[in-house]
Amino acid sequence: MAFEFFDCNCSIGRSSVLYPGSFHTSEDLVKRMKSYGISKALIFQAIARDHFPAEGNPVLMESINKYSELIPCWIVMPHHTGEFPDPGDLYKQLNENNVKAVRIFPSPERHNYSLKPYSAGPLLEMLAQHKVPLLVDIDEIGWDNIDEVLDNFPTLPVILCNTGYRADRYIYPLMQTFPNLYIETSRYLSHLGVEALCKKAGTDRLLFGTGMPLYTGAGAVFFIKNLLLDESAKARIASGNLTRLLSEVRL
Amino acid sequence: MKIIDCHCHLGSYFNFNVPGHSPEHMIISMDNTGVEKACISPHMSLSSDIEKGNRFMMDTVEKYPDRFVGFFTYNPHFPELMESELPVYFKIPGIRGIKIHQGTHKTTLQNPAYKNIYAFADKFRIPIMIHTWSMDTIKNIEAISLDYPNAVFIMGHFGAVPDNMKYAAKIIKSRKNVYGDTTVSMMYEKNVEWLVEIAGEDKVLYGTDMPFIDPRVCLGRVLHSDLSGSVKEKILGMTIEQILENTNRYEDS
Repeated sequence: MAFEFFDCNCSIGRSSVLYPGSFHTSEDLVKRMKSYGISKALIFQAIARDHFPAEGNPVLMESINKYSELIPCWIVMPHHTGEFPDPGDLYKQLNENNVKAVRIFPSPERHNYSLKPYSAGPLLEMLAQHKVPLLVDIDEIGWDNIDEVLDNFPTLPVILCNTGYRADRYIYPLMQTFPNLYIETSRYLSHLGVEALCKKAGTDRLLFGTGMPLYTGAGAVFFIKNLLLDESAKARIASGNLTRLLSEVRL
Repeated sequence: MKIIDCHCHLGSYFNFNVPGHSPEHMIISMDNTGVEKACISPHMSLSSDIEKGNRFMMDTVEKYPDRFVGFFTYNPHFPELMESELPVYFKIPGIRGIKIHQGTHKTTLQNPAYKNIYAFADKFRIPIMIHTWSMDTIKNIEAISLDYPNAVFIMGHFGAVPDNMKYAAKIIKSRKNVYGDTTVSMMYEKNVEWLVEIAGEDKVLYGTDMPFIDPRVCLGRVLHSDLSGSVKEKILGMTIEQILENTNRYEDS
């Protein structure tokens, strides 16, 4: 049974470092996706992460407009300083641009703000109200902060990316407590860990990702194809779960 | 295509859950992706009790001789134990390599207590799998490999990050008896391709860290790389098989 791959963890754009084997253009991303059998990707712009979200998101829209397989994921942040639209304006912009997923980089090394209610509360409330999936790297949010977000906003789907292979002692209790938590697969690499997690939490809450252009796309696809799960479960992880989450967004 | 994973471990681990940590779990994983053999050194011998860890390795090799190749872990903090156990372990046909993890053993490759094991490996042409994460370790291997030209040095992890990997690959290219393996947790896009380009197609070995890390992503990035079929064959099994076959048998000495 062949199934579609929809990558939820992918970016384009030039960073300050270009590693050997990596790339930064939409054209190169689409070529790699085709060669690995990935039909769609949810992507953010490196400028929005490494420089400034309000400048990077428009660049993203411009750089993907020729490619129907590239689906925009904006990077967002709180509005209090006036650097970024308030939740009402952001909602309008997401609607106008048909953006159905967002990502945050709140760590002190990146966009440097708190996820506590006094800071990110209005932003997260708006996203939760419209069920807009929120992607975040574990290194950006930390294990001791994520439970508060999941608890305060139970209708907000949170997709935790780049968890690493040492994460089960956090992930298992979080998955059992919070049904709005989802795990991206590219670096969730405890041995036979996807199969074990599926036994605990079902097959509807893992989402295929690659981490391209930094990490291997070929390996990420091979991983999902060779899971010791039935084909329908693999299909849900490869694309079905992300497609379902995006279909539930209320814009 | 014969696939031999040259860099594996075994058993549970203190720092995180390993859902598939037993030899039987590893065999399930290997059967799933067509891996014939795995070279093993248990987690316990790296992080805890060297004697019990090596015994676990030996028991596993004896139980599944067609699936596992034993790598004897050498801990320089217990030189007398190591000296007494070396002849015992290397009499077993399925034990063909040495594992050094100077990181978890909190020392460096320059520790004088390692000299005996370098000389042993040199005498019997035995491969030494060395945890190679830092530039210091790469430079130490660069020096030591000249002093022990018959020993085979494998830079496990290739230096781990791109700048280290580039330097390691150049050293590997320049030394007949130094190799690198593909084992990393951060598996960079097209990484295997450029390692082969610098180090040479005969000097890159397939390794994954199983069951420390799930091996499937690493296998996929080799199998579906841009490399030719013959180069993939070398990486995935032929080269390590030749290294293991070239060791002089201890029991014949």
